[in-house]
Amino acid sequence: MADSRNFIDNPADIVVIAGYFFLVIGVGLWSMCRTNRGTIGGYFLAGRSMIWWPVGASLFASNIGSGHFVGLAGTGAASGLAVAGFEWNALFVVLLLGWLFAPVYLTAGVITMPQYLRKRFGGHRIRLYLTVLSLFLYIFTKISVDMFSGAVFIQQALGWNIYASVIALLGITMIYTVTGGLAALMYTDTVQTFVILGGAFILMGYAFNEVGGYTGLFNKYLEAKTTQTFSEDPMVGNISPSCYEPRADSYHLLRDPVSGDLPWPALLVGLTIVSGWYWCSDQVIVQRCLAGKNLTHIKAGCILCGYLKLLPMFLMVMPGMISRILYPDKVACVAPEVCKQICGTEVGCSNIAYPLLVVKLMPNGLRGLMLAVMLAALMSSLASIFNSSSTLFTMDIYTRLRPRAGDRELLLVGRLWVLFIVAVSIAWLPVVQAAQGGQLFDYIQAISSYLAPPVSAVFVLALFVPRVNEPGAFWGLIGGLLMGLARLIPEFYFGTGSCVRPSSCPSLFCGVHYLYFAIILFICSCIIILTISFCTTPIPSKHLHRLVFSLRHSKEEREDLDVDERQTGPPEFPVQNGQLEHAVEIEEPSRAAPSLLRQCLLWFCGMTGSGPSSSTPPSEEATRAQELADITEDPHWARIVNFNALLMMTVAVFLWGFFA
Amino acid sequence: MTPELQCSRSGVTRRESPEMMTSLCCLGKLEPWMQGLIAVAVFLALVAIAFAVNRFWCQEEPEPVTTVMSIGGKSDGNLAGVDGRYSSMALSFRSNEHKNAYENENVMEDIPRVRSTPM
Repeated sequence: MADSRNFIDNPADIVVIAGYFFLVIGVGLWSMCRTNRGTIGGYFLAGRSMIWWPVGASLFASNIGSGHFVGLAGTGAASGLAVAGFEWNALFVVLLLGWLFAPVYLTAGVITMPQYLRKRFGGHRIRLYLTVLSLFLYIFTKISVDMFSGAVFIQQALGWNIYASVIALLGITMIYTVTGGLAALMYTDTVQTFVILGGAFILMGYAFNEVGGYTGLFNKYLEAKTTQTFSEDPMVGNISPSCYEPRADSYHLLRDPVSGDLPWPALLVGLTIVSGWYWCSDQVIVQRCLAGKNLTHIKAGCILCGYLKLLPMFLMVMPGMISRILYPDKVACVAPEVCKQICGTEVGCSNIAYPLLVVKLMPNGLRGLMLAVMLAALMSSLASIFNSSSTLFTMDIYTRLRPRAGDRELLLVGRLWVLFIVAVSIAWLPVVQAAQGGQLFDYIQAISSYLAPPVSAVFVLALFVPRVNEPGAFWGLIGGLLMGLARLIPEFYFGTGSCVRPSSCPSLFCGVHYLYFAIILFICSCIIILTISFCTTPIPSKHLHRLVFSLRHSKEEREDLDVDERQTGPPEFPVQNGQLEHAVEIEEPSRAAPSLLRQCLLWFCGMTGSGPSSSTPPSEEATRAQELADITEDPHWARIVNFNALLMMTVAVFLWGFFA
Repeated sequence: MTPELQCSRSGVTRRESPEMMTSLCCLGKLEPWMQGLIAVAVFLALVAIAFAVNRFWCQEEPEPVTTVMSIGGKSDGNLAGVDGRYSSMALSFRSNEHKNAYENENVMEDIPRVRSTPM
């Protein structure tokens, strides 16, 4: 790595990066000025005024993190095309979100997913459990993986100090996350999407040019193997060819159901379950959808995101494979001590496939652009996670701790929580660095496939089976969690191992492919949920109007199950605070208003906007909420959107068939 | 269970549908774009079937839908009746599409020796 130090030291690269930062901060500030950040709906849901293209671009940018660049390219280099199935599966699931899930969330009038479950089932324990589980998953899968892959890239391409660069990055991300709220986030996400796509396209062009075009890739990949196949470690010795030769089924998406590394039933069914959690019931993605202006815009945004999701195969997986062809000794290293020398890990260096291409192929100026691309991917997904976790914490945990907290207090807490989670992420970085695995993408997917299926089971059944009730959902979640942990803990205890040094985990626990395990877990959770629900009393349908799919168009009055905490949900009632300490807290800012500096600071943080629902009387708020919960569509546009969805699916099916 | 075996047997004894054969054995021999087109054809066929089933399924619905509508119409009529502007007779012409729209039904049809023309 000594030769890769200080790659970005020429004026062209620095100008590009500086320009990129100005662009992002400029757009962030511009959208901050445009939007109302002083209310819960304005800060957390962008005032529900986003049109389709920011929605779609934001869905894409929040999903594509630096983990995708490193992980997809790395797994592509290691085992061929099949990993693109992850992306091409998701584009069907994102349509499910727009057509089945989003309408119900809209009519339910919720901000967070745990809040939806609370309305649907009543009771606090499900809501609390889901909130804690989501926050846990954010920190342990999304944030750490994105930061780790960002760190891999920065180390490879720049040789910068990793802590300094990560802290600087998080600082910039924080500026517009904390101050701007979701609207600023979504507009900057749109810019980031352009940067990501533009840069990735340029790199793809260079890579294909270098390898001799599309046919060159498919002619040479199967010969791409390292020459150093002998390990000096006596325990390893001569390495069997199956460990360093590219897989024979590298060019196939659908692989053997028993012996394949990504068996096709797992890829089609198991992955849909995990994606169902990620895309349809996870706060990060759903929040972006809820910010849409109306259902047609949301659907159109989902379609745009689906089209964009077609690209990672060509922008990431194939360049990863090319990287293996061009630098087989580095990317496809197999002897543990050689790998350790090249990239610092023993299990394999496929993670450096993409950074290596950037460093070796790109000329001055474009290298800076590629760094901007990685930063864009990193920042957009981190910012989304920060914003969503702050929404979760504020709406689901803090309102429980202090049920009578006003809007202003909630907004302040939301912003402070972002600071806190940034600090946790930085503290977590050394752990991530120490535990870096060989194939990053599999690691994220493995954790999510052990913990997510019960959650998707609960959401699917909550939406489509009105009979499911609170005990069923709760014990389904707990049972699923225990099963998932029974697999997760042994696997982490024994380690995942590598081809050269297989893991000693007994096959009773670790023998089943993780996506098959997701299917089993999903089915078991469903069985538990349904059994317990049918054995206990059902929820009367007066509580379920517009909360389940079959009743989404219902016009009946709904008796909310969370009626005891209505005042903390949508900001319909002004805060009536009898206690002295609260009153002081609320009075304080207005008393200090004359100070110019303080005023600037408050404006910057978006706290000057209308106080707790002071600008609009409660009745007006209520009618507005009624309008937003409306899911009727203009039939003309609905038909256009449906047709586009069909078209997108047709294109996707063709590509699946083409690479099957 | 070996695909090759099944393929040769079915090729000799009886003709399977093309999709069956490709999915069973001959996937490797086809051109990629052909695979893609077959997949698209199968997908579109499935969509068409789903669409047809949906249509068929929805055609059984109108009974409940109209009863619901007439209930809505009655309550509307009662409300309107307070205003004194709508007679209850208008209810039978009321369109399903809008509360202030009416069907242009031919009431003269029943009366003999009256010729009804479109104009």
